[in-house]
Amino acid sequence: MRREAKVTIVVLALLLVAFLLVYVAASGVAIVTAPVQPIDFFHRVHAGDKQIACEYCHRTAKSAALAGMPSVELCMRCHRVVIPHYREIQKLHRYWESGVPIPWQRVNRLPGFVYFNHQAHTVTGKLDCAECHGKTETMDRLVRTAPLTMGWCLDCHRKKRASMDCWACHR
Amino acid sequence: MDRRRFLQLASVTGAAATVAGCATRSHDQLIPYLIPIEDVIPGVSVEYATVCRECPAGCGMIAHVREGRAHKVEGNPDHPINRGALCIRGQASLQGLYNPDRIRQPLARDPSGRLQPIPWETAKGSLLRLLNQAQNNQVAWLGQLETGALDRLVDQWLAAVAPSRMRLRYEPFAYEPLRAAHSQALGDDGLPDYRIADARMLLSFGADFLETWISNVEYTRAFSAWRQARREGKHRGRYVFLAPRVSLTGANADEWIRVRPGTEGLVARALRHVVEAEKAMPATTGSEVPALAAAAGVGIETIERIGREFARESPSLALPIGFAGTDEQATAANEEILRLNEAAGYLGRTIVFGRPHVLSAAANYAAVLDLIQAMREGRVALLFIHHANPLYTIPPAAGFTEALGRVPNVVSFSSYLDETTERASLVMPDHTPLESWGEYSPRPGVTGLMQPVVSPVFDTRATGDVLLASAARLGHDLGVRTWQEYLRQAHPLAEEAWRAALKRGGIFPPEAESPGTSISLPTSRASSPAPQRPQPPSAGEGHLFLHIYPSLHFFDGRTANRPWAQEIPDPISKAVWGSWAEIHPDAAARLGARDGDVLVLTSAQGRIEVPAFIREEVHPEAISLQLGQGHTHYGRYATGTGVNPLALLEGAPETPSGALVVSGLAVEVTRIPIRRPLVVLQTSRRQVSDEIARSVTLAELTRLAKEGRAEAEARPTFYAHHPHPEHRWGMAIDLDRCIGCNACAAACYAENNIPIVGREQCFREREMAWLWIENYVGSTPPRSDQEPERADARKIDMRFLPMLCQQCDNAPCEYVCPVYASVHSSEGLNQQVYNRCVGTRYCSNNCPYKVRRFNWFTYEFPEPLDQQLNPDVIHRTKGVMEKCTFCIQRIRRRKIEAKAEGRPLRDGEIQTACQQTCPAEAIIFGDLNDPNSRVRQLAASPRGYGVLAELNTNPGIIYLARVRAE
Repeated sequence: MRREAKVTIVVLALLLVAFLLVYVAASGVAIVTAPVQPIDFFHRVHAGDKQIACEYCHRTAKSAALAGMPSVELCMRCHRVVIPHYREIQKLHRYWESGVPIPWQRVNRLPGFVYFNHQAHTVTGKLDCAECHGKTETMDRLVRTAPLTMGWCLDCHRKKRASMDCWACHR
Repeated sequence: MDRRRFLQLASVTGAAATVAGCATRSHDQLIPYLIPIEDVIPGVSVEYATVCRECPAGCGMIAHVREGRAHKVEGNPDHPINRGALCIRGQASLQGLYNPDRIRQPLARDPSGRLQPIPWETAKGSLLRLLNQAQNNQVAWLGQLETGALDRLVDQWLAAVAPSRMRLRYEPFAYEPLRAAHSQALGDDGLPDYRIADARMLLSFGADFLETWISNVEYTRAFSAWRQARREGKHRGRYVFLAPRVSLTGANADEWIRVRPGTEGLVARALRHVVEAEKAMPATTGSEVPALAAAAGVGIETIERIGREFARESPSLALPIGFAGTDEQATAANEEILRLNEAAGYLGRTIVFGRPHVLSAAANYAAVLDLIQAMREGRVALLFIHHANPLYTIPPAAGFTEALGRVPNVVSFSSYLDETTERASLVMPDHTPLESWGEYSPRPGVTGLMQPVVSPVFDTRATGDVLLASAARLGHDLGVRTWQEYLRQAHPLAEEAWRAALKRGGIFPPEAESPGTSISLPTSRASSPAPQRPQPPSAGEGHLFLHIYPSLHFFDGRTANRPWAQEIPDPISKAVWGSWAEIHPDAAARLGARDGDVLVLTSAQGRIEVPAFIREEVHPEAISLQLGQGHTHYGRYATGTGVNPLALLEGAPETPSGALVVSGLAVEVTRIPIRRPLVVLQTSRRQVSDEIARSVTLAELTRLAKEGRAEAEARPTFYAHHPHPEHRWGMAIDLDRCIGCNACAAACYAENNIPIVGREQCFREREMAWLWIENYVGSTPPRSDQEPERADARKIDMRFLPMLCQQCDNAPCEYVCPVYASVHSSEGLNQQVYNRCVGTRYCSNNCPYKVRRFNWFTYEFPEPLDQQLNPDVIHRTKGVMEKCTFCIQRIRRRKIEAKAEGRPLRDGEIQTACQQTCPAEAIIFGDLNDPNSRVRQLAASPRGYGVLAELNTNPGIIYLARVRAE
């Protein structure tokens, strides 16, 4: 192939990628359902093999609107002694020592005009975490399993006779 | 590769890079805490108790802090002064904390004379150098009134670093004539407790006790209790306001006695003679009454009627003159009012001494004049300014500006670049009260504690720390190193008790209040004081008496840089972003002036131009202006807005109190052919057929209570009935409690992220308020047929009506929305769904209450004002309609909490922001489905009605009619 044609293909490919990225950004729907995390954290090991309860790390999943992300200190409580020399744990130690919190990539994201409350679903609605978050105990890198669209929310609200008022979630 | 291809490639790569950049937006990340902060749960507000320092009343305050940002302040229910309520200034304190025009770091003059940022170390070094230089000269401290630890620290520090010093505890409203009158009559200048709630008849000689006078939230609560007692038949006392102008406080009265400016004392003296005659006491000089009445421009019959009523209704209370009445005879007038109370036997019963308000410790204005004299003579080498702005609050004629030029160095601790700080040589910005440790005791035994609710927004330092550090560097040991330790040591409590006190908001006395016992003035002093000089018969041709009153929104001008205070309409004129001069229609007619015509006020000292606001409730010989506007340096919101009437004053002190004379000056008033229309957000006070804001007389109320209200029958409607299976949220607003103070409006702005649109957009009626107060005069004739209308005494029938979305059951807005953005909820709310709204504005057109607001622009919150935004409420953008939600975020929070705890919602658990802050408790929110709820019971009141209910909107807000005395 001629050199110029090669360049044209590259340019077209880049354009396509650019278009897709713009489309994704504009539509607000994350196509990437399993973003690469700064540390290769395995839910399979923690929630699966070690049987650690969800609320041990996501402490306010049953008591507040936000489930809460574990503080770096909480990770360190175990990993000071648990496999401290493993490559990924070394990364954790570096975050801890430099005093920088870990920039976890969001997997489940709702638009800004949606006010979701974990407590209302886990306690009042008696939902299991897995109903929205999937079988995290089988996941290595966390994957979004639910579409998180309004139709999906309302299907469940209808089924469970939860509030169908707009202001239940939007305000 | 040629140039053309390179550019093509480069642009595509650039676009890809931009897009890739977008993909890692910060809100796509979840950042955990490194170490969790104790008690902080992300998304849940933490409450810290502190003290409101927006005025010397010292109300307790709870700050709601989310992730380090204070997004709401509320009154502290435990604090004995305000019991959970806050006024508009207290609500707006957040805009002091997050004011975009705050001083962000220390400033010093550079060689060219401009203030330039410097590091703190340099500033501290400069302070030491200045202190060393001033070693053998006079050092002066002009600061706001402080109590407790900081007050002591300033004294100690001055004693240590400045061998020769003077200190002024400066408050522009220091009540000097009142204190001097008490000092003369009783030998004690303490400001007493005025027991409004215990009185039957109330007379106010101009004391604006619902706005700024001493402790306005405290007195509003008492006044509300007084009205409740009257409504419930416990007394039938009336409230009479005697002043040249009807203020907001006066507008809540039953009757206005129109006294000539400066004759309040004469009226009080005349009333005393009537009271003495009524009580068959030996009259001192009974024949005085006709002369006194004539001088005051009040009829003898009026004086006799009021005087007899005052004597009969025991105990009653006559409140003194306020700041606006401070003329050359203010002390004598206050003494007359004191003697009126004494003659009627109320001294010690409704006026209780022994717990003086801390304002009694404020310096008088004459002391400021002494300081000016010392400065002018070059005797002051170094002047400290601590949260005071004398260049604004002292009339220019007093010469503070020139005197300041003779002071080599001025150090200011101010948080804002105000008129005075702008002239300082060194600025060491203090924390704002919400970032500070501190204490404040408004009355003996009531000590409010302040703790920082957020970490400092800017590079500021606590003045206490600056003082302690500089003293240490100069070799003076004040015992501790930090201000926090100093404060802690001032309260020798065990650690646990200290923490409990901080959490509660202070150290408060037990509930029981001692009942007052009647006291009389010492007989030797009871001899009649010298009669007052009568006022000049008139102000002179083309002249009017100047009448300057403090501002509910701006106090003495210190809160003029809070945009909420500017954009929420003035309770009387309903004007925003400006100043105006209130004049009587007769005076306006003589000038040929209409509303908005520019008047020129000229005195020997100055000249100001201000638009006219024509009003019946001003004495025809007076022209009334508000204090607080007209700043030349006070940030973007206050600078250049309105005028400062102090420019007209001579700046002379009253004898013997040493107060600033603000009243009684005759100024020349002319009209110039320029119109500068006021931005008035409510143009008519008349209501057709008395339907919107209703009132009943006490007699009618008794009849209604017996008969009960005729139940309105359900009218036919085309539309489907809305079932409310669980809750039907509703609100009862008691117009007999509402005083029109705007606190609710400010709370609504704070809670719901309502933007400020500015003067020009307000002029186009694009203000965004979800809740505002409308005021109406009764359309029923304010007099009975038997008595002809009199100029000197007029019944007041002003009704304040908070207007907000009525959450109608048959909502006109819902039927017309083409995209279902306005829909009914199962709990009776009219939901506005922003993310569905396309901005047709049909809903607003169809709303009979006009409570919907359209976002004509995406309004910005200039940094750091954006830090105040409530995270539970979205920031709406251009093209979207919005309105009151009954604080849906608060309803949702409480509902989720109750459900998680597996219990039903308790009545009163959910409080809307407006309800929470109301000092008069006029607003009650609750579930209309619950037969035992307070709102349901109030809704059944014989006074209850729905505004425009004849349209069959079936509103969720029930108003309770105001109760007139007759």
